[in-house]
Amino acid sequence: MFSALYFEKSLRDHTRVQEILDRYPQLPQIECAHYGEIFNRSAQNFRLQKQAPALILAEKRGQRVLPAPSGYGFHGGRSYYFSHMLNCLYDCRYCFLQGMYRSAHYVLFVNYEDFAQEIITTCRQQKQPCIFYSGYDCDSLAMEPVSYFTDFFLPVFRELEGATLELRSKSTQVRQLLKHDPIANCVVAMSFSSERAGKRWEHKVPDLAKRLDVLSRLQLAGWPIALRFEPVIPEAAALEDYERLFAKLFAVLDAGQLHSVSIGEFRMPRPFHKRIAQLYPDEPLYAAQTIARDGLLSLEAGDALISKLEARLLEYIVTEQYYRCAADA
Amino acid sequence: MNTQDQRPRTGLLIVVAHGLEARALLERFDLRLIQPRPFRLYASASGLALTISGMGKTASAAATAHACATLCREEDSLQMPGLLNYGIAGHGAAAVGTSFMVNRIMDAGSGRSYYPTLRAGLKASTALITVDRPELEYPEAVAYDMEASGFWAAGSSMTEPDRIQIFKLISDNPSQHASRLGKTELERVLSKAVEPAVALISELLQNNMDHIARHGLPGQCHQVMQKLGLTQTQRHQFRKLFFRYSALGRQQQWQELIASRREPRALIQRLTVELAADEADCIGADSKSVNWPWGASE
Repeated sequence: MFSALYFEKSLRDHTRVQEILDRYPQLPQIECAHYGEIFNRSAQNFRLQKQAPALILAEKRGQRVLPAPSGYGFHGGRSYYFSHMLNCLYDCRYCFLQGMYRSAHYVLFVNYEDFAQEIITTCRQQKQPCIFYSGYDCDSLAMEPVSYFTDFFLPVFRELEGATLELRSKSTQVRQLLKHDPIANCVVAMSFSSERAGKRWEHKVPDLAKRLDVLSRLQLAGWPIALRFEPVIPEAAALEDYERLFAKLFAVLDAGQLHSVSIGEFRMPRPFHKRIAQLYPDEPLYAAQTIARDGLLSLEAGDALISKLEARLLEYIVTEQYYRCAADA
Repeated sequence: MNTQDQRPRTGLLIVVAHGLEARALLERFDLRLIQPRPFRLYASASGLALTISGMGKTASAAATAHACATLCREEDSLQMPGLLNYGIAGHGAAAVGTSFMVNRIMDAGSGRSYYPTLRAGLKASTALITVDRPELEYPEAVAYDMEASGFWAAGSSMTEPDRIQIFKLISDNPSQHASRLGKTELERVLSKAVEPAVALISELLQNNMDHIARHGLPGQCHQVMQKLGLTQTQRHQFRKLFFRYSALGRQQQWQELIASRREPRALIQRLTVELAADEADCIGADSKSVNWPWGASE
């Protein structure tokens, strides 16, 4: 699963670190002073590292809860995100993380208690509901068997009035989640692409049938679930492909019970796009013509396609359940 | 379009401190002397090179930098060879004759640490301290050498750190002291490491050749750049355009365009305009009417 385990020296005796080190005695276990020595060094090659990523166990210092980027997520309160992990188990060619980070290694911040305290403080300082997104810099659930993230954070949100947690994922790792009673203010949002797009761009992601199965089980168990169709990458058969996807999903899921559904087009900050194009010179996605809007690059005809997909989607859900991921930075 | 350069490239440069460490590798990989000074530099037709630095981290850094500069015509780190430091080391706990990839280099002089990227499924790795004088006390259960930190410092300023590795063969430890290590004993120890070293070198060479080919321009492009006298900025633009045409499957158009122009600025402008022409065609277009380079079939 990992090529090596790195851990910050100051965390040597931390319970979560010890548990993970004990679990992988066969892996090289390497001490460092600060995770940035490995993760942030210059001239690293994300593509090469992605072939054999390591897990870095670190402490998150500084600000742990940040305002979510404008246009990210649903309405209903002030939006924040927090990242207990950096990077994702999957290897989606469209993912902005490839251009955002210098390293493809996974960083797991083990000081969950500090995150929880800052979430609670942030929430209490606001006089309005707050939404906290955990899947911005990582997949919320994919590393669950190692991180036990939900075991710690679900009880925090269960008790936190006025706060909503969105777990965004492509993973089928819901075993821990299903051990808990459903929590009304914890939304499990699953990202989907059409099957054709998934096969082309999403490497190592579980297939549609498996993910639909776990989403259905979560819904039956009473968890609020959401659907995210993002990023939509235009192609000749995209409309038909997504029509088929919608039909499959809504044949199994109770559309009326969905927390929210969103669509967003493929878009990326220009510097990330440039960096990824350099990493993948053979990738047509980053060679294709783009249009620039407010510092973000997107593909031609993406906007027109989204409008058509919205019309199809609204045959299954009501307008109040839907939002479009905005294209602003 | 062939992305392999027509001229031989160096995929992997091995840096060793002593001629004795190099001997078996020179024979095994058919490495021939191409430069006797300031550091002996050998190369093979298969893309492998080896240089002998002499002892110490300063010598190792200098030899690494010199060999890279000699072997590579481009300063682009993506085109630099992978780097491997191979040689003997002491160890505070490991048996003589065992071999390791190094997972952490600590420079005893500066206190700085460096972390080579490890490959998946690695069975044995060790931390290593680079010392300025031979370590005869072996105070920690780590490897001790005199070159790795210098090699890393020089290498990582030229190539991606993910393509730099250090492979050490344990020649001495507290029970088999370095002071008793003679030439015969050293040769015996080194012979044990040949097979794992050969396997490692072959794998690294292949991986690096693939990497360099992926990011390299074909020989024809180099010829065009040279013939037209492109400036450094134009070279970057030309390179970027080549990869875009190539990724979009427009090799034929590229060939026609570069054959038709003789003036650098006009050529680059034409190449850019032709790509942008597609953009104009599909502004406001339906996704069906655009010829997406990733196609519709699976």
